[in-house]
Amino acid sequence: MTAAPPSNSSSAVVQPTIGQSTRSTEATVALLGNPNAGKTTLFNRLTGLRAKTANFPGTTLEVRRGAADLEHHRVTLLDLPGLYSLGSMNSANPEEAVAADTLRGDAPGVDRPAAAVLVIDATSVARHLYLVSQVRETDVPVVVALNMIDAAERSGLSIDADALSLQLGAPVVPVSARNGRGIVQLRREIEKIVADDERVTAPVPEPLAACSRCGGCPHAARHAWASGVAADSVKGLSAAAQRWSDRFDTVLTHPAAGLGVFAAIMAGLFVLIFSTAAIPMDLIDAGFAALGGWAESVLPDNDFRSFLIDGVIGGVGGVLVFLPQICILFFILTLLEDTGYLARAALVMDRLMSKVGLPGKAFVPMLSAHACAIPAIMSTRVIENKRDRLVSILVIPLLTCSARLPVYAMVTALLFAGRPVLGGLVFFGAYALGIVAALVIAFLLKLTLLPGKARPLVIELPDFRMPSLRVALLTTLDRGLIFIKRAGTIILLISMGLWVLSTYPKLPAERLGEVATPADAAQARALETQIAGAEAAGDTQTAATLGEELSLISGKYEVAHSFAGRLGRAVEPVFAPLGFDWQINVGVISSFAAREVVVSTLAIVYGLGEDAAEEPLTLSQTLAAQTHADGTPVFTLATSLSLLVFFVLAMQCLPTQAVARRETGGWKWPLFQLGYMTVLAYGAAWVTYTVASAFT
Amino acid sequence: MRLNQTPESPAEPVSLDRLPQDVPAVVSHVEAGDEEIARMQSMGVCEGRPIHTVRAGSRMVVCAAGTRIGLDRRIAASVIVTPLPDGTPPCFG
Repeated sequence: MTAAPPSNSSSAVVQPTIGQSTRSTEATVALLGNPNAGKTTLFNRLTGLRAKTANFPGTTLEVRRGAADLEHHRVTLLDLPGLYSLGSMNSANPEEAVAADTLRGDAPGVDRPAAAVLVIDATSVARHLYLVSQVRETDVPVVVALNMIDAAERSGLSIDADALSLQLGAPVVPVSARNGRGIVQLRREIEKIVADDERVTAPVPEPLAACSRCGGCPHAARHAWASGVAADSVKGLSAAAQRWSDRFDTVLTHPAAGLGVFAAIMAGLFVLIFSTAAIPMDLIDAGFAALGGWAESVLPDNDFRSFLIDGVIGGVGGVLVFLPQICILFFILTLLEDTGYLARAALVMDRLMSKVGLPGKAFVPMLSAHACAIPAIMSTRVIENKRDRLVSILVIPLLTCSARLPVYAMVTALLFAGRPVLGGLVFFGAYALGIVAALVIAFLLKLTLLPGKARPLVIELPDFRMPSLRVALLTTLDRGLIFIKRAGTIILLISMGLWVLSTYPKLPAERLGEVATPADAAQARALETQIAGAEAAGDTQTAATLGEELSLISGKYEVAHSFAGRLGRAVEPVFAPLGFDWQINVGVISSFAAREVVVSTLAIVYGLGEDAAEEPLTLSQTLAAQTHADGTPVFTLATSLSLLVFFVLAMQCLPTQAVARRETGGWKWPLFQLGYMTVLAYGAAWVTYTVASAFT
Repeated sequence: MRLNQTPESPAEPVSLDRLPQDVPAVVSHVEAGDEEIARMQSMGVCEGRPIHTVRAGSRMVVCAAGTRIGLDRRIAASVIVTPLPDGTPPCFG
């Protein structure tokens, strides 16, 4: 059913002229509505998978654009940020300002929309009409999508779309974005406007026009109008459903019970992520290993092969291996958000987080940070207040992301191989240390550089509803692609740079005897003799195996000779108080840009080869056997814990810094972040090493 | 809980953070303020509109314009409401 505004039933409403012409250029159609109106679901329904996410020029606000096919036209659908009202050009709320600018045609780089599709929730018509009242006062022709009509009908509501259309002076189309009901009619109504050369906007009905002229509270007149319109066009009550929702809220927003439910859901979320992500992570790992193996088999043994396998394939694979965890996290978070639960969780957490100067809205980004800090920092855009958002961005990288897991796994295997309970405690302690550090730093920022309380929370608690799998899958796909594109490309560049630093200058083969220990030099000479013998006998397989052994010995000296190795030795005095030797220093330096690189670097500098990094037990056994020149072990309990604490708290992630620079608009805060995290990591690692050394 | 009142003596205006749970009221006045207050007003907490409290406390849940809204008590203190001697809470129609 489609309700167009009747032209003869009210003198205040004029039916817009409907032209029949077609256009060759794509018109822009803006999609806007309150948060939780089902706008994203409708966008996905109209555009399918053809959406692109980008920032509004000059802002950090994301906008999704997608092509939507009508019967005779293709239009560009612009998914504007969710908003409760249409702000002025100078509105403090960036979402409102961007929406207002876009509808006026003032947004730089964005075409003025030919039409606006206003999405309103059929289960809560009165409240959503507030925004409709403001948009109707612009010059942009409007189509109202009465979304979730199926849910409204199930709850006993009957909506007279014709009456609503008459009062709004705009076509009203009942739709269900989830099951596709009414989408064909909605497309037709959009097409009528797009095909109209004149695009005459229907006059604003007189009762609505009066709202902007009346004195007193400007909000009150609009709400009174909206309430009257809803009373005339919506019949039936859903009191039972509302009382049921209230009972749920009684538990979920309870200061104690709400926290308990939140803790249980989060515990379940992490168990699910770590249990289900293992298989796809192994598959990705195996895929890149196979790719590297194939490249090794078809390319001649030279620097280019090493660059391709270690720098390019290893670099990209090292990042993409974490993609399953990130996708699962976003999939579940989207489902939870769709049910309406996350808004309750934000309210419950606000009570605790505001004590340290963090807003409740920071909790979802902080949750996401346990997968990866990059999307987490991006998602702080939901926090309107600049101070609150900055504090959140500054502490988010302290939370344990997926890239820290290989380091935790390595240290756990090193210290407590075969003792899962103690190993689990190490993991728990590392996660807890990150969370506590984030809260403490936020509190210190509140007392010093960023004084003030977090802004008081005002958040809509949407009705509880069944989540949409389609929406969750599309959101996950969107976020996954962003992660691959943004993090993958930067990591690739870093990996290639690190390859150069750890490969050049090359150690001439004849100089190996000069720099190696007498034992290694003797073994290398013996291997060279054996290889020569095997080659003379035509035993290429034996020669190749012996060659690999020789390259393991020469590899660690080659790294020592490289720029990275020299740097590791140069900073020995700096890291010695933490119990680190020069090889660990190389790991710390090489992982400056991407922390997970430390594992593969240690495998190389201790002469294991990169494959060992995928088998922490093998790596840990070798690390455990390493000794200083005086014969004492390198990886004592104190050194291992010190290394762990350092990697829990250190920044060690250049892509995160790049995103923080973009989100804060300069390098000032990212450099401060790098500085405080480095000092914190160094100090905490030193304390750990000193205390642990005293007890062992 | 109901306010202590009789039909002849309508309840005195109180700030929203002091409105007892499940007591219907109407918003009498909203102190002019910052962005959060403007957002609250656009969500339906503004002069003349009905409201009731679903949960009291430092983080309140109120119902206005048919929607539940989570509020910090600090911001609720800027809203003056007049409890209604009789009425239906606004989330229930």
